[in-house]
Amino acid sequence: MSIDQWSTTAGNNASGVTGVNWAEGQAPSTVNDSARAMMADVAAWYGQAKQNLALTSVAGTNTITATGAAQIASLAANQIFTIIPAATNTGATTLNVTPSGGAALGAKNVFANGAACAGGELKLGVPSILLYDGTQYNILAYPVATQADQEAGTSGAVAVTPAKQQFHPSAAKAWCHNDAGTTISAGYNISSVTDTSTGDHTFTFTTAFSSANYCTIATAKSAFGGSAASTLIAMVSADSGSSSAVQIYVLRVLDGAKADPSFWEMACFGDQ
Amino acid sequence: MMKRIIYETQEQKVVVVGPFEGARLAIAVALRDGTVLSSDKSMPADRFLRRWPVEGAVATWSESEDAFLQRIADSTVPSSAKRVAIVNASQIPADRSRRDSWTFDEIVGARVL
Repeated sequence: MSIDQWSTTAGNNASGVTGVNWAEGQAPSTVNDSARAMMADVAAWYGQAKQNLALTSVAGTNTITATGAAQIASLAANQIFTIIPAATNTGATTLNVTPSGGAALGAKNVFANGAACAGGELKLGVPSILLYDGTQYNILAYPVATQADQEAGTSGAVAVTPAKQQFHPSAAKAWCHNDAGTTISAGYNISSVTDTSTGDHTFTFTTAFSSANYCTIATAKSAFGGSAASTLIAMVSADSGSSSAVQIYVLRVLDGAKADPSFWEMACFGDQ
Repeated sequence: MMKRIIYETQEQKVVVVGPFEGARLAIAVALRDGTVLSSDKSMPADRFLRRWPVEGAVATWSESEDAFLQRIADSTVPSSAKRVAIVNASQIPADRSRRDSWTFDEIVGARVL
């Protein structure tokens, strides 16, 4: 392809471009040759653009090799490549691109977020976009975190979407704010609240925990003043051992009797 | 306001279950700004927005209120319950000062003795 020899100054395109001659007074026999040469150049350019520098025949885990378009004569800053990894990388990673029918361009480091890959930045079968900056490849599009990624909570190489955020161990899996009775004004992953008696409510989850080993935090908002008689404490019932619901008592500190708060507020953490 | 499920225990106590609308199955939720979130399968309304309710949001329910109430009742009312009824929220006494004296009444819901 010789389109890179074309000039943005029209007068400079009279000659000097391989196969093209638009000089003043040119021989009539060169007109069709110049036109066909230009068509060939544009076709080659289109072919390269159409392929979007997509890399094929991708192989390797951390030492990745791939085939690029034949038109990639060399690496240059700001080239963008797309790649579908053949494996999920597990540590520092390099990529060596070989133009189709040509010689390998040399292995270059792959960086993610400004640092060498640590593993997990490229995922098996998940397309990624790489920008070559003149020194190394930089991953522009991170893979999306799975539920397992979130539950492990260790990867710095995947991006979290709202649909998966709640699976992180630090995230509340359920919470609720309701009045003394059974009117829930706001909540998450709660399907109902059961008013069993004064100071005795059970909150049922829409999606249950994976076991009964989860943590509940509850508070009781009192409508009264700060006297001992009106000081309330919320606690999880000793009988509450279900993965699908949690029973909470509110007790009066003064005498330990069950009492109704103005509002119940609770949140649960654990694995679903 | 969402209806309530009430049942009477073997000890003749009245238990009130308040279903949370966010758990009711929907097929789409329209936000106040006109954005519509939809799914090709039914899911709880609070899965669309991760919490419910949201001011100005309107859900397109895929589950009738009766079916929702029945589903909640199935998961919360013990088989040992003597009697079960679905009542309007207004049929539950607002005054809770004598909560533990409520009795089951299939006509008026929970009743204060």
